[in-house]
Amino acid sequence: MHPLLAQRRSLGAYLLFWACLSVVPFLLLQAAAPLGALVLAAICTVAFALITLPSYYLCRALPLGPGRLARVSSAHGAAAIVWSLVFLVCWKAFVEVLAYVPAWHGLPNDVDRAEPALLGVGALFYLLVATFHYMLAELDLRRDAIEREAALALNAQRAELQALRAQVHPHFLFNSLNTVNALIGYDPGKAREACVLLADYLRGTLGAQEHALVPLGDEWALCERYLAVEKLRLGERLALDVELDEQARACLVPSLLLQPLVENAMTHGISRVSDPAPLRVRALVRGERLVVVIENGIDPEPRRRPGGVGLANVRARLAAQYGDTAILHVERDATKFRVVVKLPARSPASPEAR
Amino acid sequence: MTKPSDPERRVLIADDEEPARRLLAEYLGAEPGWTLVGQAKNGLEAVQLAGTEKPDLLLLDVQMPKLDGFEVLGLIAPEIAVVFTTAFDEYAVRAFEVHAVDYLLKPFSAERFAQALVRAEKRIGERRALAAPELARAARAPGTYLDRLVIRDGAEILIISVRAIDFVKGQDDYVEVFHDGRSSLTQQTLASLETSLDPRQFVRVHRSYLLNVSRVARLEPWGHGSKVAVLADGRTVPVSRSGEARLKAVLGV
Repeated sequence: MHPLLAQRRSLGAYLLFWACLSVVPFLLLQAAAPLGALVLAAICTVAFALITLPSYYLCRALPLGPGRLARVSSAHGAAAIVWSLVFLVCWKAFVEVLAYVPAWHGLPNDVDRAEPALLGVGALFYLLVATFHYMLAELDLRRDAIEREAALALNAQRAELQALRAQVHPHFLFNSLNTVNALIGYDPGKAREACVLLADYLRGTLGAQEHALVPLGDEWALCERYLAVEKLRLGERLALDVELDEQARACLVPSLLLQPLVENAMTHGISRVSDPAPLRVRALVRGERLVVVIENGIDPEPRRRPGGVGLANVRARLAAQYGDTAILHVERDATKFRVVVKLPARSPASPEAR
Repeated sequence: MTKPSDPERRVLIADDEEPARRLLAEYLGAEPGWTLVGQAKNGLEAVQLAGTEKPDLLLLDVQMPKLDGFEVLGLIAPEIAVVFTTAFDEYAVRAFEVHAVDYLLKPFSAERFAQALVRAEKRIGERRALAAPELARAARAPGTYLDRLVIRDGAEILIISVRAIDFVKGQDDYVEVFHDGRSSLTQQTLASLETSLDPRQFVRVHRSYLLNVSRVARLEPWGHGSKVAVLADGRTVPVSRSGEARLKAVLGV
């Protein structure tokens, strides 16, 4: 639907503007009966303003742009000729009706005389309407762009918040604070260390951007801070066994790829096993692929089966970034849970990396 | 407040994290009239120490290896007063509120700890009105069910995967759980156990029977319009008329 028809007030203003413009054809007419000529000019001009409204669709179909001048001007030139003829037909039709008024008998003659001028005015009026429609379209575009930008910003904020919530689980935070509270009593030096480790980790997650690619080495550094805090809490129970190839460390991975996997291993694995349990992490480049393996001990008689949101989230992010070229799969036996991630090995120097 | 002539109240700590245990011990050390009798590093140790040390009060962490706090609660003497400790668990906290169970949210202050002791003092000796299975059920996220049953069988503690259960027979306040070619008794009503098990797996086929649908081989008539379910191993379980309807609804026949 035409935007003016949707808003009654704008339509009123539009018609009023054209009623005022009817003074132009009125002057051209130079009629002996000024009142009749004024009525005729007003009726014809306002009627023309209504009849030209559909040119809005022509303007939408022919957007302005570099290299389109010939097409746009020829189309509108042709339309201007057609509409100016329509304009003249309007005049001729209405003047026959008005000529029934005895004082306005001479009007048809005046119209005949002004015919070329009226044709010209009709064409100009058409071009005026077309210009107006291009302005409307431009305003629409701008409003859409602003709305889209606002929606994008909102989405980005939501995503960031979600990521943040996913990164710092309340359970982890409160347990860590409890550890600090306990350490203050029997090892104040370690309590200080714990505060700094916790702050380092939180700062790391705050700085991490959901869609950024980072070297695996940096992503692992964030995991190390997380594990250092967990080590204070669990002590001997967490036995770390980590080997990351230099080549693998340089590979780019989505930020926060490993952290949720490591946190999963801790919350569903290590922290539910009473005896010291290993957390094994391996990363290596095999051909074109980066392979990361995270393996942890589990309770042989689990209360709840592990998996769930953390893994699904990482899977979804891998799919979004790499499509079919990355996979995450899970293996388990009675005492071990293993996550294997394979993705294209890209280093910052390689041409495909961005 | 305990008078000087009173024996000291005996306290057992159960928490899998060393710093958390040391903090509780430190807070407790500052409270006259209470004495620490043991520290358990997991749920199983908590149950064992509760048996040997006969504490008046158990400070019980919710999330622990081997057995969780709720499973421990179901296995210890009901006259032991319990204060739960947890870092963050919205469902558990709601369950504690609803069932008026005292709890401490980590991290907590020495003042808050002292208040918990004052309340515990009142509870010591009064047998809990609350059954552990009801509390555990209230603490589970909606739509989630038990994955295992923990049952004391004499001196032994059995951990039974629900998938290993063939059927359960109710007898007053007890249920007899048939699993792994044997049966074990536990103090709980059949109705209470029924609500803790996945209704797609366990069906109340009779006033006194809960049946694992995956074990059913066929149904046979048994007079008066009732039937029996014949299990794959040949054992039979009575099925009432309404039980048959429920069973067929779950099996989709």
